[in-house]
Amino acid sequence: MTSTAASKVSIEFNDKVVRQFMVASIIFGVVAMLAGVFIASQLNYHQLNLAEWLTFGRLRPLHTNAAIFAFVGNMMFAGIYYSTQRLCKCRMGNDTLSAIHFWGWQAIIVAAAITLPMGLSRGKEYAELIWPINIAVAVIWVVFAVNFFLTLHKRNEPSLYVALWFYIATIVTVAMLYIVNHLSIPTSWTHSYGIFGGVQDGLVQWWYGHNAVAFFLTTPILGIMYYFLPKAAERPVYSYRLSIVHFWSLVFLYIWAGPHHLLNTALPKWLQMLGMFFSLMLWAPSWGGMLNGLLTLRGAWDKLRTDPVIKFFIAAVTFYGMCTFEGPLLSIRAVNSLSHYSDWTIGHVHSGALGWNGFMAAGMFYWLAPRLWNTKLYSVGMANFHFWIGTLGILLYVVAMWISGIMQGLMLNQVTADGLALKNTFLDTLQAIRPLMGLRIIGGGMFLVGWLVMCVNLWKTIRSGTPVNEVREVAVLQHGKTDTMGMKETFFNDPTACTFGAMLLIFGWIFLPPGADIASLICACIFGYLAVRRFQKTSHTWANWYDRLLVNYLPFTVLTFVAVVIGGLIQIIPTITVNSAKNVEDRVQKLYEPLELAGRDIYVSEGCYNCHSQMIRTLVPDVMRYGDYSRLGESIYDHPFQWGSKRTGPDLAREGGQRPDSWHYEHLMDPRSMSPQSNMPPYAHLNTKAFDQKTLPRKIAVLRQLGVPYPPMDATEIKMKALEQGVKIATELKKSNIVVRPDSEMVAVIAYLQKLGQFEQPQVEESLTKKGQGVPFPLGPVIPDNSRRADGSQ
Amino acid sequence: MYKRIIYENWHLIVPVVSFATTVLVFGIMTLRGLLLRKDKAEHMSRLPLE
Repeated sequence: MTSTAASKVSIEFNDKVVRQFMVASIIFGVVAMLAGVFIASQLNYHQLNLAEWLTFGRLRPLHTNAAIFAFVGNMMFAGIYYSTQRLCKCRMGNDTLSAIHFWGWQAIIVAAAITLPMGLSRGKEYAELIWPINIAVAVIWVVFAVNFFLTLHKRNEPSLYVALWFYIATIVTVAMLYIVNHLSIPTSWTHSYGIFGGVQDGLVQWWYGHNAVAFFLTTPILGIMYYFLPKAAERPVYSYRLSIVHFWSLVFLYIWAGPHHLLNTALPKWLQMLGMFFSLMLWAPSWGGMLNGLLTLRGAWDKLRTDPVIKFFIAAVTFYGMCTFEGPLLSIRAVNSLSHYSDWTIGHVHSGALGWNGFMAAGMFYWLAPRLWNTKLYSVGMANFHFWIGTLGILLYVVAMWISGIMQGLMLNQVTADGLALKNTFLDTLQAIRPLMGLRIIGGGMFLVGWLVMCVNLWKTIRSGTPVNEVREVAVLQHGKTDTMGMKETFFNDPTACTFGAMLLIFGWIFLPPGADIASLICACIFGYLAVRRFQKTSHTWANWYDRLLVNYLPFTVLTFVAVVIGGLIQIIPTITVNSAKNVEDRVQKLYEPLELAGRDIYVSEGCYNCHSQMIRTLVPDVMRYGDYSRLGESIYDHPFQWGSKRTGPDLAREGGQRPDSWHYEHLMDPRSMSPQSNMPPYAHLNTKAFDQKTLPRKIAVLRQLGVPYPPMDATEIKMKALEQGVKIATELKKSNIVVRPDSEMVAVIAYLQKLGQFEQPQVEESLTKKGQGVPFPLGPVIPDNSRRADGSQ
Repeated sequence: MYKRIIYENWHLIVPVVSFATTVLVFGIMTLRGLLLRKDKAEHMSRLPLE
């Protein structure tokens, strides 16, 4: 930085780190999309499960993590680093921190790419990475946050533009979500048990999972939209006023919507309703943001014909609108009963990931590359080709998944003419959707081709120029004009006192016992009236307070954090306080024996949850197909929960005891020998490896620490118990002429599968079952799935 | 289930509360947006173009 005048300085931006993140995003975009096309192909061609470390269950987490954290993560950092420096009119806070952030993030991605195919997984979607990598992610995120806030601190522009608000929301919320959902106790260097279990784990996971979409794939990209779209269109954002409503309502509402991933499950009904209603209300801010983006192009629509950057941005914003319309729609319980566990959800997320994230990334890269390398875009024609093949690819993919999801959902629910039994086996429905899964491969392939064309185009562009860091002369901001607001001024004033007071009283109405709740409601009404009167008298000071917030980044950050933390606390705290067996008044899960626990850990590590749910929903077709609906207490000791989010195969919640051990052995060795036309990968490698006896005592000790009521056992006793059960299963298998090692992983997985669905029956249910009354539906499946039975009998 | 902790009738209350909360947040921020001075809004919306 060199001083040219008393109040002006020349600033050289750190564009090197922007270039680095951009190139990383482009490369990891290829990896993520290649992995996506490959695993989509595995679903139609099981032969592509080439090796133990290349099975669908292990590669699917690699695909999702690569798409979210490697591709979009790097793209997001490129956009944030570029725009923050320009909006703050200063260089990034610290070059060393920028470098640590870049290289640290890439190291994390490489570590993930190695560990996930090895089967090292926490077994929770988008949160699969093992605990040492989790710590690295948290550390690097803090480095990023410090660097970002240092930049805000030394900025030369007093006002915080709306894009920066979205970046602030991203940084604080992702930190909160990531840390809470990854709280674990290690059992070894590569394994840990999350501190939450059962329904509580489900709730925390989808609070995280949903908001990973919200605050990792949406808010930072909205910030990028608010910066890059006006730049590309060369006109200001359509409505700054609308952006205020958009930001605050979006960050406040988004965090509540997580439970919509658990509709019709054992999750308490009030949480399901909360998730559904807040999801529906998200329509308003989402579409407010979309319209703000689209209308920014007012008076310049002709650019849509000529400028590929504008094409990508406008298509991306349109996909954002489509996706945020579809999301709330899928959150309506009745719609969700059809769509959940089906390809419809897969289509929905890909319209967001490819259409919104992918096209925003492409538009930004086409805009950035000529500026960062001081040259012209190599080929507008190639960019246009990329746009059209990408658009057609997304549409083909999404439409195929819509049809597939709806078709499979309807087929699974179809009953026979007399209405007493289901019409189709699970495999029937799988065969019906195979052509649509084929179309998905083509659609995804087309998008990948477009991306590769972009790689060539940008490579040629980069080769024709030289890297440059933009230098700009800016007026130095006088110290003391901004960031003067203390915590007292932030919180002890009319607007915050009235807002928090009203919310406190409304929460009192929700949580307090009868009598006190009505009193709280009356107080809330009186308080609201007084607040309005107060506002009428002092509205100018209210407005002044908000205007001051926009030049004070720390209070702004704190208030954003408060806005996002409220929703999480209200959902999670009640379940934390009650989620123990002593509070459950229904069935409680039976404890896993040591061998069964070892089998469960293998099931988790193989990623079986990617295709098999363990949650029979409170829906008639689910009960008719899989048996009695799952109770909340039936997975209370599961760390992690395995309710799943997609059924490429049938539900396994009540699999235990349904089939002989020999059936499971043959099925795991070669799924098609037992279920012709199945697309499941073979798991013959389980037969050759011994299960991990060494860490079993430590695992059981950790589970005891987490409240699972195992009796005191020493290490020898645990190992002996495991081996005894292994010998029992091996002996049973020998009767079917199957020779298997009693200490093999195969035996452990069979033991686990046979345990699924076992519970301590409460006395009330026991008496009802004995009398044969009070049970509205048959407790066993109504449809005998012939192809899945060993003897073929009904 | 958690009968003593989670009231059976909460699903009747939750929609009302969630709607009221949203109206509160929307209302306050819409008011703030509308009351923003025109010159201030114009300045803020032009920041990326400077």
